[in-house]
Amino acid sequence: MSEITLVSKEGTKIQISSQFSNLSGFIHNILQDYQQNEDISLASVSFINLQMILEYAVHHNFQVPQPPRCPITSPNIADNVSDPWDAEFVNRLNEDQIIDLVTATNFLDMKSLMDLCLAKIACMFKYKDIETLRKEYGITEEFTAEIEEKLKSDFPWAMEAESND
Amino acid sequence: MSDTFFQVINIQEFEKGKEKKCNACNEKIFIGIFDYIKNPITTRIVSAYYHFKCYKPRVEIPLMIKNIKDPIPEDFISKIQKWNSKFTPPKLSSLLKPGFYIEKTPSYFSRVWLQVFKFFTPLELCELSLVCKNFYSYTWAKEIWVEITGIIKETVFDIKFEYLFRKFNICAICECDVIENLYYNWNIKRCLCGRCSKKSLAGIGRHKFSLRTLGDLMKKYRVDRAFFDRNNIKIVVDTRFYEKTYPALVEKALENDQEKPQHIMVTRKKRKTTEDNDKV
Repeated sequence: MSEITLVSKEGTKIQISSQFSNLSGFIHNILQDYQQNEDISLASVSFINLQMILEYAVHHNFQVPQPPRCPITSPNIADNVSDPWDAEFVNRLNEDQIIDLVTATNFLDMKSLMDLCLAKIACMFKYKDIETLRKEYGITEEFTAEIEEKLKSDFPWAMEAESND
Repeated sequence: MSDTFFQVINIQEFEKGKEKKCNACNEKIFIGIFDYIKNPITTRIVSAYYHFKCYKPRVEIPLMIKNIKDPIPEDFISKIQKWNSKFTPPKLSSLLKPGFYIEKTPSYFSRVWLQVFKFFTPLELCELSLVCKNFYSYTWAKEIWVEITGIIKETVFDIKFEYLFRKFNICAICECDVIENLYYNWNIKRCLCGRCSKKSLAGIGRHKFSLRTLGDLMKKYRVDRAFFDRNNIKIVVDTRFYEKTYPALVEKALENDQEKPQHIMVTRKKRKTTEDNDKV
Protein backbone atom coordinates (compact mmCIF):
# COMPACT_ATOMS: atom_id res chain seq x y z
CA MET A 1 0.00 0.00 0.00
CA SER A 2 1.73 3.18 -1.16
CA GLU A 3 -1.01 5.77 -1.60
CA ILE A 4 -4.20 6.62 0.25
CA THR A 5 -7.13 8.84 -0.76
CA LEU A 6 -8.27 11.55 1.62
CA VAL A 7 -11.64 13.26 1.09
CA SER A 8 -12.06 16.80 2.42
CA LYS A 9 -15.23 18.27 3.93
CA GLU A 10 -16.21 19.64 0.51
CA GLY A 11 -15.78 16.23 -1.08
CA THR A 12 -12.50 16.94 -2.88
CA LYS A 13 -10.25 13.89 -3.15
CA ILE A 14 -6.50 14.07 -2.60
CA GLN A 15 -4.05 11.23 -2.98
CA ILE A 16 -1.08 11.05 -0.68
CA SER A 17 1.57 8.63 0.48
CA SER A 18 0.54 6.29 3.27
CA GLN A 19 3.63 7.53 5.13
CA PHE A 20 1.36 10.38 6.21
CA SER A 21 0.35 8.06 9.06
CA ASN A 22 3.75 8.86 10.68
CA LEU A 23 2.43 12.37 11.34
CA SER A 24 -1.26 11.72 11.94
CA GLY A 25 -2.55 9.44 14.71
CA PHE A 26 -6.01 9.45 13.12
CA ILE A 27 -4.74 8.14 9.77
CA HIS A 28 -2.47 5.69 11.56
CA ASN A 29 -5.47 4.15 13.35
CA ILE A 30 -7.55 4.06 10.17
CA LEU A 31 -4.81 2.28 8.24
CA GLN A 32 -5.03 -0.67 10.63
CA ASP A 33 -8.22 -1.86 8.86
CA TYR A 34 -7.73 -0.09 5.57
CA GLN A 35 -8.70 -1.74 2.29
CA GLN A 36 -7.06 -0.56 -0.92
CA ASN A 37 -8.87 2.10 -2.99
CA GLU A 38 -11.00 3.00 0.00
CA ASP A 39 -11.59 6.73 0.57
CA ILE A 40 -10.84 8.24 3.98
CA SER A 41 -13.43 10.88 4.76
CA LEU A 42 -12.27 13.86 6.83
CA ALA A 43 -15.54 15.55 7.77
CA SER A 44 -13.97 18.30 9.87
CA VAL A 45 -11.11 19.25 7.54
CA SER A 46 -11.69 21.72 4.74
CA PHE A 47 -9.89 21.45 1.41
CA ILE A 48 -7.74 24.53 2.10
CA ASN A 49 -6.64 23.17 5.47
CA LEU A 50 -5.99 19.75 4.00
CA GLN A 51 -3.78 21.29 1.33
CA MET A 52 -1.79 23.16 3.98
CA ILE A 53 -1.45 20.04 6.11
CA LEU A 54 -0.18 18.05 3.13
CA GLU A 55 2.25 20.82 2.18
CA TYR A 56 3.65 20.64 5.71
CA ALA A 57 3.85 16.85 5.58
CA VAL A 58 5.59 16.78 2.20
CA HIS A 59 8.12 19.40 3.29
CA HIS A 60 9.07 17.32 6.31
CA ASN A 61 9.20 14.18 4.18
CA PHE A 62 6.45 12.58 6.32
CA GLN A 63 8.76 12.53 9.33
CA VAL A 64 7.98 14.14 12.70
CA PRO A 65 10.06 17.35 12.91
CA GLN A 66 11.61 18.84 16.03
CA PRO A 67 8.98 20.44 18.30
CA PRO A 68 9.03 24.22 18.93
CA ARG A 69 11.01 25.53 21.88
CA CYS A 70 9.13 25.32 25.19
CA PRO A 71 8.86 27.78 26.87
CA ILE A 72 9.14 30.13 23.92
CA THR A 73 11.86 32.75 24.21
CA SER A 74 10.80 35.39 21.71
CA PRO A 75 7.64 36.82 20.13
CA ASN A 76 9.13 35.89 16.77
CA ILE A 77 8.20 32.33 15.86
CA ALA A 78 11.36 31.95 13.75
CA ASP A 79 13.46 32.08 16.94
CA ASN A 80 11.48 29.24 18.47
CA VAL A 81 11.53 26.64 15.70
CA SER A 82 14.46 24.75 14.27
CA ASP A 83 13.34 24.86 10.62
CA PRO A 84 12.93 28.40 9.17
CA TRP A 85 10.40 26.98 6.68
CA ASP A 86 8.04 26.22 9.59
CA ALA A 87 8.15 29.87 10.65
CA GLU A 88 7.44 31.06 7.10
CA PHE A 89 4.61 28.55 6.77
CA VAL A 90 2.83 29.65 9.93
CA ASN A 91 3.56 33.35 9.45
CA ARG A 92 1.56 33.53 6.25
CA LEU A 93 -1.62 32.49 8.10
CA ASN A 94 -3.93 34.92 9.84
CA GLU A 95 -5.50 34.32 13.26
CA ASP A 96 -8.66 32.70 11.92
CA GLN A 97 -6.71 30.39 9.63
CA ILE A 98 -4.48 29.32 12.52
CA ILE A 99 -7.50 28.46 14.66
CA ASP A 100 -9.02 26.50 11.77
CA LEU A 101 -5.76 24.66 11.28
CA VAL A 102 -5.57 23.84 15.01
CA THR A 103 -9.07 22.35 14.80
CA ALA A 104 -8.13 20.34 11.70
CA THR A 105 -4.86 19.06 13.19
CA ASN A 106 -6.68 18.19 16.38
CA PHE A 107 -9.11 16.10 14.32
CA LEU A 108 -6.23 14.40 12.54
CA ASP A 109 -4.27 13.98 15.79
CA MET A 110 -1.24 15.71 14.24
CA LYS A 111 0.70 16.88 17.25
CA SER A 112 3.68 18.37 15.41
CA LEU A 113 1.70 20.83 13.28
CA MET A 114 -0.69 21.57 16.12
CA ASP A 115 2.23 22.49 18.38
CA LEU A 116 3.60 24.77 15.68
CA CYS A 117 0.25 26.63 15.43
CA LEU A 118 -0.09 26.81 19.21
CA ALA A 119 3.45 28.16 19.51
CA LYS A 120 2.50 30.84 16.99
CA ILE A 121 -0.54 31.80 19.12
CA ALA A 122 1.71 31.87 22.18
CA CYS A 123 4.08 34.19 20.28
CA MET A 124 1.19 36.60 19.71
CA PHE A 125 0.81 36.86 23.49
CA LYS A 126 4.51 36.99 24.33
CA TYR A 127 5.78 40.22 25.94
CA LYS A 128 2.36 41.86 25.67
CA ASP A 129 1.16 43.45 28.86
CA ILE A 130 -2.27 42.85 30.34
CA GLU A 131 -3.70 46.13 29.12
CA THR A 132 -2.60 45.53 25.51
CA LEU A 133 -4.14 42.06 25.50
CA ARG A 134 -7.40 43.37 26.91
CA LYS A 135 -7.46 46.12 24.34
CA GLU A 136 -6.73 43.73 21.47
CA TYR A 137 -9.45 41.33 22.46
CA GLY A 138 -11.92 43.92 23.73
CA ILE A 139 -11.92 43.01 27.39
CA THR A 140 -12.35 45.42 30.27
CA GLU A 141 -12.03 44.54 33.89
CA GLU A 142 -15.07 45.33 35.93
CA PHE A 143 -14.16 46.41 39.41
CA THR A 144 -17.35 47.61 41.04
CA ALA A 145 -17.41 49.22 44.48
CA GLU A 146 -19.18 46.13 45.82
CA ILE A 147 -16.46 43.79 44.57
CA GLU A 148 -13.80 46.07 45.98
CA GLU A 149 -15.51 46.08 49.38
CA LYS A 150 -15.76 42.29 49.28
CA LEU A 151 -12.09 42.02 48.40
CA LYS A 152 -11.10 44.31 51.21
CA SER A 153 -13.01 42.28 53.75
CA ASP A 154 -12.05 38.85 52.37
CA PHE A 155 -8.39 39.41 51.57
CA PRO A 156 -7.11 42.42 53.50
CA TRP A 157 -3.48 41.40 52.91
CA ALA A 158 -3.95 41.29 49.15
CA MET A 159 -5.34 44.80 48.96
CA GLU A 160 -2.51 46.00 51.16
CA ALA A 161 -0.02 44.63 48.62
CA GLU A 162 -1.84 46.48 45.86
CA SER A 163 -1.59 49.84 47.58
CA ASN A 164 2.07 49.35 48.46
CA ASP A 165 3.02 48.59 44.89
CA MET B 1 4.82 44.54 53.38
CA SER B 2 7.25 41.73 54.06
CA ASP B 3 10.45 41.28 52.09
CA THR B 4 9.43 37.90 50.73
CA PHE B 5 6.01 36.42 50.28
CA PHE B 6 6.95 32.89 51.37
CA GLN B 7 9.12 31.78 54.20
CA VAL B 8 11.02 28.80 52.85
CA ILE B 9 11.91 26.10 55.33
CA ASN B 10 14.25 23.28 54.40
CA ILE B 11 14.11 19.78 55.77
CA GLN B 12 17.60 18.53 56.43
CA GLU B 13 19.25 15.37 57.60
CA PHE B 14 22.50 15.66 59.56
CA GLU B 15 25.28 13.10 59.54
CA LYS B 16 26.69 11.72 62.74
CA GLY B 17 29.11 14.15 64.27
CA LYS B 18 27.69 17.07 62.28
CA GLU B 19 24.42 17.41 64.16
CA LYS B 20 23.03 20.84 64.90
CA LYS B 21 21.35 21.99 68.07
CA CYS B 22 17.70 22.89 68.17
CA ASN B 23 17.12 26.59 68.77
CA ALA B 24 14.13 25.86 70.99
CA CYS B 25 15.14 22.89 73.18
CA ASN B 26 18.94 22.99 72.63
CA GLU B 27 19.09 19.23 71.93
CA LYS B 28 20.81 17.53 68.98
CA ILE B 29 18.96 17.23 65.67
CA PHE B 30 19.36 14.27 63.27
CA ILE B 31 16.53 15.23 60.97
CA GLY B 32 14.87 18.59 61.33
CA ILE B 33 14.17 22.00 59.91
CA PHE B 34 16.63 24.54 58.66
CA ASP B 35 14.95 27.94 58.68
CA TYR B 36 16.52 31.15 57.43
CA ILE B 37 15.18 34.68 57.46
CA LYS B 38 16.53 37.70 55.66
CA ASN B 39 16.59 40.78 57.82
CA PRO B 40 14.95 43.53 55.72
CA ILE B 41 17.12 46.28 57.24
CA THR B 42 20.57 44.71 57.51
CA THR B 43 19.86 42.17 54.68
CA ARG B 44 21.70 39.57 56.79
CA ILE B 45 20.43 36.03 56.79
CA VAL B 46 19.56 34.71 60.23
CA SER B 47 19.43 30.91 60.23
CA ALA B 48 18.12 28.49 62.84
CA TYR B 49 17.59 24.75 63.30
CA TYR B 50 14.57 23.08 64.88
CA HIS B 51 13.04 19.70 65.61
CA PHE B 52 9.73 19.13 63.88
CA LYS B 53 7.88 19.32 67.18
CA CYS B 54 9.75 22.43 68.36
CA TYR B 55 9.28 24.50 65.23
CA LYS B 56 7.37 27.75 65.50
CA PRO B 57 7.29 30.23 62.59
CA ARG B 58 9.29 33.34 63.40
CA VAL B 59 7.68 35.72 60.91
CA GLU B 60 4.01 36.28 60.17
CA ILE B 61 4.10 35.06 56.55
CA PRO B 62 3.13 31.80 54.84
CA LEU B 63 5.56 28.89 54.85
CA MET B 64 6.80 26.77 52.01
CA ILE B 65 8.54 23.46 52.59
CA LYS B 66 11.55 22.64 50.45
CA ASN B 67 13.58 19.41 50.16
CA ILE B 68 10.78 17.16 51.27
CA LYS B 69 12.15 13.90 52.65
CA ASP B 70 10.34 10.97 54.15
CA PRO B 71 9.34 10.49 56.85
CA ILE B 72 7.80 13.83 57.82
CA PRO B 73 5.48 13.71 60.80
CA GLU B 74 1.90 14.17 59.63
CA ASP B 75 1.06 16.48 62.48
CA PHE B 76 3.87 18.77 61.29
CA ILE B 77 2.35 19.00 57.78
CA SER B 78 -1.08 19.74 59.17
CA LYS B 79 0.50 22.34 61.47
CA ILE B 80 2.07 24.10 58.45
CA GLN B 81 -1.16 23.91 56.46
CA LYS B 82 -3.09 25.39 59.37
CA TRP B 83 -0.55 28.20 59.63
CA ASN B 84 -0.75 28.92 55.88
CA SER B 85 -4.53 28.93 55.86
CA LYS B 86 -4.40 32.03 58.07
CA PHE B 87 -2.89 34.05 55.23
CA THR B 88 -4.28 32.61 52.08
CA PRO B 89 -7.58 32.04 50.42
CA PRO B 90 -8.30 28.33 49.81
CA LYS B 91 -7.02 28.24 46.23
CA LEU B 92 -3.60 29.63 47.03
CA SER B 93 -3.20 27.46 50.11
CA SER B 94 -3.32 24.36 47.88
CA LEU B 95 -0.13 25.66 46.23
CA LEU B 96 1.71 25.72 49.52
CA LYS B 97 1.03 22.10 50.35
CA PRO B 98 4.08 19.86 50.41
CA GLY B 99 4.68 18.33 46.98
CA PHE B 100 3.35 21.45 45.34
CA TYR B 101 0.67 20.65 42.83
CA ILE B 102 -2.62 22.16 41.89
CA GLU B 103 -5.71 20.03 42.10
CA LYS B 104 -8.06 22.66 40.77
CA THR B 105 -9.17 22.11 37.19
CA PRO B 106 -10.53 25.04 35.20
CA SER B 107 -14.26 25.42 35.12
CA TYR B 108 -14.32 26.27 31.42
CA PHE B 109 -11.97 23.59 30.22
CA SER B 110 -10.41 24.65 26.97
CA ARG B 111 -7.92 22.22 25.59
CA VAL B 112 -6.47 24.67 23.11
CA TRP B 113 -5.72 27.38 25.63
CA LEU B 114 -4.10 24.89 27.96
CA GLN B 115 -1.85 23.75 25.15
CA VAL B 116 -0.97 27.37 24.33
CA PHE B 117 -0.17 28.13 27.97
CA LYS B 118 2.41 25.38 28.06
CA PHE B 119 4.67 27.63 26.01
CA PHE B 120 4.94 30.22 28.79
CA THR B 121 7.02 30.51 31.93
CA PRO B 122 5.29 30.56 35.35
CA LEU B 123 5.79 34.31 35.61
CA GLU B 124 4.18 34.90 32.23
CA LEU B 125 1.36 32.58 33.23
CA CYS B 126 0.69 34.70 36.29
CA GLU B 127 0.60 37.78 34.11
CA LEU B 128 -1.73 36.11 31.61
CA SER B 129 -4.05 35.03 34.38
CA LEU B 130 -4.75 38.68 35.07
CA VAL B 131 -6.15 39.25 31.60
CA CYS B 132 -9.53 37.84 32.47
CA LYS B 133 -11.41 35.38 34.59
CA ASN B 134 -11.30 32.59 32.04
CA PHE B 135 -7.55 32.85 31.63
CA TYR B 136 -7.30 32.78 35.39
CA SER B 137 -9.20 29.50 35.52
CA TYR B 138 -7.10 27.97 32.72
CA THR B 139 -3.87 28.83 34.51
CA TRP B 140 -4.92 26.62 37.42
CA ALA B 141 -4.91 23.48 35.28
CA LYS B 142 -2.86 20.76 36.91
CA GLU B 143 -1.25 19.59 33.68
CA ILE B 144 0.42 22.95 33.04
CA TRP B 145 1.90 23.26 36.49
CA VAL B 146 3.09 19.72 36.82
CA GLU B 147 5.49 20.37 33.93
CA ILE B 148 6.87 23.61 35.28
CA THR B 149 7.02 22.79 38.96
CA GLY B 150 10.81 22.86 38.93
CA ILE B 151 11.00 26.36 37.53
CA ILE B 152 8.56 27.95 39.91
CA LYS B 153 10.74 27.31 42.96
CA GLU B 154 13.47 29.52 41.50
CA THR B 155 11.13 32.41 40.81
CA VAL B 156 9.49 32.32 44.21
CA PHE B 157 11.61 35.15 45.56
CA ASP B 158 11.03 37.44 42.63
CA ILE B 159 9.18 40.50 43.92
CA LYS B 160 7.24 40.85 40.69
CA PHE B 161 6.14 37.27 41.04
CA GLU B 162 5.03 37.95 44.57
CA TYR B 163 2.97 40.92 43.51
CA LEU B 164 1.44 39.01 40.62
CA PHE B 165 0.65 36.10 42.82
CA ARG B 166 -1.41 38.30 45.07
CA LYS B 167 -3.18 39.87 42.14
CA PHE B 168 -3.68 36.38 40.78
CA ASN B 169 -6.11 35.74 43.60
CA ILE B 170 -7.83 39.07 43.38
CA CYS B 171 -8.51 38.42 39.73
CA ALA B 172 -10.59 35.37 40.64
CA ILE B 173 -13.34 37.65 41.82
CA CYS B 174 -13.12 40.19 39.00
CA GLU B 175 -15.41 40.13 36.00
CA CYS B 176 -14.77 41.05 32.41
CA ASP B 177 -16.96 43.38 30.45
CA VAL B 178 -17.68 43.85 26.79
CA ILE B 179 -16.67 47.03 25.01
CA GLU B 180 -18.22 48.57 21.89
CA ASN B 181 -16.53 46.35 19.34
CA LEU B 182 -18.59 43.30 20.20
CA TYR B 183 -17.88 41.25 17.12
CA TYR B 184 -14.17 41.82 16.97
CA ASN B 185 -12.34 38.56 16.86
CA TRP B 186 -15.24 36.75 18.42
CA ASN B 187 -13.73 33.30 18.24
CA ILE B 188 -10.85 34.18 20.55
CA LYS B 189 -12.86 36.60 22.62
CA ARG B 190 -15.49 33.98 23.35
CA CYS B 191 -12.81 31.99 25.13
CA LEU B 192 -11.19 35.00 26.78
CA CYS B 193 -14.11 36.82 28.28
CA GLY B 194 -16.26 35.28 30.99
CA ARG B 195 -18.83 38.00 30.49
CA CYS B 196 -19.30 37.26 26.79
CA SER B 197 -20.11 33.63 27.39
CA LYS B 198 -22.70 34.61 30.01
CA LYS B 199 -24.49 37.16 27.82
CA SER B 200 -27.78 35.75 26.62
CA LEU B 201 -29.95 36.62 23.67
CA ALA B 202 -33.12 38.48 24.46
CA GLY B 203 -36.03 36.09 24.62
CA ILE B 204 -34.35 32.75 24.19
CA GLY B 205 -31.77 32.95 26.94
CA ARG B 206 -29.15 31.07 24.99
CA HIS B 207 -25.51 31.90 24.76
CA LYS B 208 -24.60 34.29 22.01
CA PHE B 209 -21.13 32.91 21.70
CA SER B 210 -21.88 29.21 21.91
CA LEU B 211 -22.40 27.07 18.86
CA ARG B 212 -26.00 26.37 17.83
CA THR B 213 -27.31 24.13 15.09
CA LEU B 214 -28.47 25.78 11.87
CA GLY B 215 -31.97 24.41 12.47
CA ASP B 216 -32.24 26.22 15.81
CA LEU B 217 -30.93 29.43 14.33
CA MET B 218 -33.22 29.30 11.29
CA LYS B 219 -36.17 28.86 13.63
CA LYS B 220 -35.12 31.63 15.99
CA TYR B 221 -34.13 34.25 13.42
CA ARG B 222 -36.64 33.15 10.79
CA VAL B 223 -34.07 32.80 8.04
CA ASP B 224 -33.59 30.12 5.43
CA ARG B 225 -30.54 28.04 4.57
CA ALA B 226 -29.60 30.36 1.70
CA PHE B 227 -29.19 33.22 4.18
CA PHE B 228 -26.07 31.55 5.64
CA ASP B 229 -24.46 31.07 2.22
CA ARG B 230 -25.43 34.54 1.04
CA ASN B 231 -23.74 36.20 4.01
CA ASN B 232 -20.73 33.86 4.07
CA ILE B 233 -21.41 32.80 7.64
CA LYS B 234 -18.79 30.42 8.87
CA ILE B 235 -20.30 26.99 9.53
CA VAL B 236 -18.62 24.16 11.39
CA VAL B 237 -19.51 20.49 11.43
CA ASP B 238 -19.42 18.75 14.78
CA THR B 239 -18.53 15.14 15.46
CA ARG B 240 -22.12 14.03 14.84
CA PHE B 241 -22.12 15.87 11.49
CA TYR B 242 -24.45 18.64 12.69
CA GLU B 243 -23.85 21.97 10.99
CA LYS B 244 -23.40 24.69 13.60
CA THR B 245 -22.58 28.37 13.89
CA TYR B 246 -22.66 31.24 16.37
CA PRO B 247 -25.84 33.29 16.97
CA ALA B 248 -23.64 36.40 17.20
CA LEU B 249 -22.63 35.93 13.55
CA VAL B 250 -26.25 35.56 12.44
CA GLU B 251 -27.19 38.74 14.28
CA LYS B 252 -24.36 40.60 12.64
CA ALA B 253 -25.35 39.31 9.21
CA LEU B 254 -28.99 40.25 9.81
CA GLU B 255 -27.96 43.88 10.32
CA ASN B 256 -26.27 44.01 6.93
CA ASP B 257 -28.51 41.65 4.98
CA GLN B 258 -30.26 43.38 2.09
CA GLU B 259 -32.96 40.76 1.63
CA LYS B 260 -35.20 40.88 4.69
CA PRO B 261 -36.87 37.64 5.65
CA GLN B 262 -40.20 37.44 3.86
CA HIS B 263 -42.23 35.77 6.57
CA ILE B 264 -41.56 38.70 8.96
CA MET B 265 -43.18 41.02 6.43
CA VAL B 266 -46.10 38.58 6.16
CA THR B 267 -46.69 38.52 9.91
CA ARG B 268 -46.55 42.34 9.99
CA LYS B 269 -49.19 42.48 7.25
CA LYS B 270 -51.36 40.02 9.12
CA ARG B 271 -51.06 42.07 12.29
CA LYS B 272 -52.07 45.21 10.39
CA THR B 273 -55.18 43.60 8.94
CA THR B 274 -56.29 42.31 12.31
CA GLU B 275 -55.75 45.78 13.81
CA ASP B 276 -57.87 47.27 11.00
CA ASN B 277 -60.59 44.73 11.69
CA ASP B 278 -60.53 45.63 15.35
CA LYS B 279 -60.97 49.32 14.50
CA VAL B 280 -64.01 48.53 12.34
